[in-house]
Amino acid sequence: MKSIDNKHAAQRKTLVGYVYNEGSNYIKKNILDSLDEKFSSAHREGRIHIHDLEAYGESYNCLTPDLVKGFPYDEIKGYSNIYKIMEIFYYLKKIVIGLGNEQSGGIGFGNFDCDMNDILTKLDMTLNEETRKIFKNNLDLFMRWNHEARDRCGQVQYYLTFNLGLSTTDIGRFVTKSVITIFMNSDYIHPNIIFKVKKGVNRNEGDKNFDLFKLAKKCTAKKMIPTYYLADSEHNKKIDAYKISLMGCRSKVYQNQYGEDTTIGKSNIVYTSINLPRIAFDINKEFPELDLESKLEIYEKRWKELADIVKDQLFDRFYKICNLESDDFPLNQIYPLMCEDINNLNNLEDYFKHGTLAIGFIGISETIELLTGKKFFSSNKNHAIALNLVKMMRDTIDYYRKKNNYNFSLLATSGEFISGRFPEVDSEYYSHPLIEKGFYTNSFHIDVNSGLNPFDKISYEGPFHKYCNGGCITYIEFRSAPLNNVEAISELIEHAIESDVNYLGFNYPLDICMDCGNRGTYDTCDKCGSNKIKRIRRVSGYLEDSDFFTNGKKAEVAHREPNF
Amino acid sequence: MKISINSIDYSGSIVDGPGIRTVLFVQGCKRRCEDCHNPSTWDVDKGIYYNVDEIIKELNKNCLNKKLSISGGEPILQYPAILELVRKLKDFDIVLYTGFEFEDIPKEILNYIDYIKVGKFIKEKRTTITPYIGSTNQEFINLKNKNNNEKGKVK
Repeated sequence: MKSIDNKHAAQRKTLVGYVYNEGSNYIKKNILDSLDEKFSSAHREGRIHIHDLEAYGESYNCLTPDLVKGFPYDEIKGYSNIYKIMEIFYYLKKIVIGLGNEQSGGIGFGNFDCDMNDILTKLDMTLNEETRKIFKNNLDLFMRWNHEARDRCGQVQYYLTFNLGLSTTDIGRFVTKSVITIFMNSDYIHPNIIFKVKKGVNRNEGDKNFDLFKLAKKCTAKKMIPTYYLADSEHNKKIDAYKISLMGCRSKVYQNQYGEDTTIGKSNIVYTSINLPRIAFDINKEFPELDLESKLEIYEKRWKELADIVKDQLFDRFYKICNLESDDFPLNQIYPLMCEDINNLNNLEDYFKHGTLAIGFIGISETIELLTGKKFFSSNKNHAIALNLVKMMRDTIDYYRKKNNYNFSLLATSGEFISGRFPEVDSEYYSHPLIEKGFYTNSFHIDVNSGLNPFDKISYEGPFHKYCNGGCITYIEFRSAPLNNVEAISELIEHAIESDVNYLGFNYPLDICMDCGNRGTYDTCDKCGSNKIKRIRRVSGYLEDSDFFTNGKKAEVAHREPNF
Repeated sequence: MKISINSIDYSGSIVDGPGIRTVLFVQGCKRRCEDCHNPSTWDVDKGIYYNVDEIIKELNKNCLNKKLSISGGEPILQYPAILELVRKLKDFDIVLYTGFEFEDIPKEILNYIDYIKVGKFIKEKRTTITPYIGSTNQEFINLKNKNNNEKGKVK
């Protein structure tokens, strides 16, 4: 166990971080002032949230780079094995830093195991004692760098996610095993890891990678990571598991009006989220006497009006980015990481049109409670109302997709920031216990303090997943670290697959002793008695030191009650 | 036969044995361990009496994954009723939490359960990092492994 330091808080206050923050605030204000009044006022009034405002018109959101296509094989073909491996990780690091500079969001490695297999094979490399050792050492260094790096704008880490679990080749299996083992036995909380679960590959006894699935679950029981993409869930069955991957924040980029359905080499381009509870507050105030059915009708109408504004705003942002030059994306000029070669396009729109324009939402729970007086999981009737609402949103977005021929998608937003911002803005207009608790509940999630049995939570949330084609997740909250209760993780993954869940994660309070490295859930270390404890929690899909939470997340975490 | 219980927790525990478990808390324990988790289960007179068959019906209805941990209280104080319960819950995966040592447990019941946690809770030996036990003197024994993966082999 490596010793753990706690410099991160200080590192967030470097000179560059300070300059970046000041500049970013200045730009955000300027951007808002420059936008069409109907977009900026909806944002200012907290009806919608335009994410990553500082990047408005300057860049896209995230990318799953095509690592195999982009790799410069010819340059290093003649190198020794040691040097080839070092070059591979140099390439990966360059990608992470480069994309960190030229885009606003995360980086997904779509099939890290398969891709490493392909790259190593193309470089005529095989596994032997020497290459295994060097690869593993370099991988460890790369992961440690990603864990510690605060070199992005002097303050934030790179949001990097490894998707893996499907490669059954010797190299692919070695890579998956190495990533999980290194993560499990270290104090790293980055990078994020998503394990793809698939029948015939790793899900059941007898499958070639069943051992790796078991190892992944063991790691989850110790460190919350990996989370699980469930390829066998009904609505995911028609998707090629090798062609889809997720971002750590849960973004799902797959469908394509302009070519192959895949995640690889593609981006979420722009996204904006809608404050669902606010519409309900407005309706309750304006029409206190109306019955539920009439309120729901007005709700649908109001949501569609707002979605229309969001759609236009996404177009505005999208077209501004399309007017940029390929020179604005220098890393992508060097390596062909995207599904189109941006050096040879007349217009960047020919790349960006493959990506998604996502409309997000938060607070189904509060919305249904405001309209019906009860939680959406309190009765079948309320559950059906909630589902219908989300289905209506998806239908509208599918209509946008077809009518405009762009990849609009419905995103169950992760909402680190908006969970706190929306109720804060709403408190200027309304006073209500659901506002005063300080946060709105994530997407379609059941309240964090429901105390529901985990099987029931999965059963209630499962049916929402198929509608959220822009990404979504169900989380299970445990009261304490499951330690080695891998069976509990297994049972819930299986139940989630049966419940049509797309993506599943496990949360629990993870405390790491900074003196001896012991892990568990405690105030004083059980092993050495130290009370220097680092508290790791999950925020918007990524693990964080809880000192750095935003206010909304702090309020939400304080309310989290385990589902058992 | 009647059994005296405190409560049944269906919320799905991950700390009372492998998997997601329903926990049946029986009523009554004379041990009085300092810092006991469940002092409300001590008083032998405060239980609610049910027929074992009623409990079985209840568990079959609400414990869908059929994983049950019998805790308390001290189950062995109601040995005949507990024995009947576990004999009748044939298709359940069962953990028995007892403060007795392994040698002191009547052998017959081991034929009908899958795991047993033995030893009393000792505050000074408290642990939160070893799975399924409260203090390091206690032991969580997998009887399935002990008996070739089948119930009913302990003589």
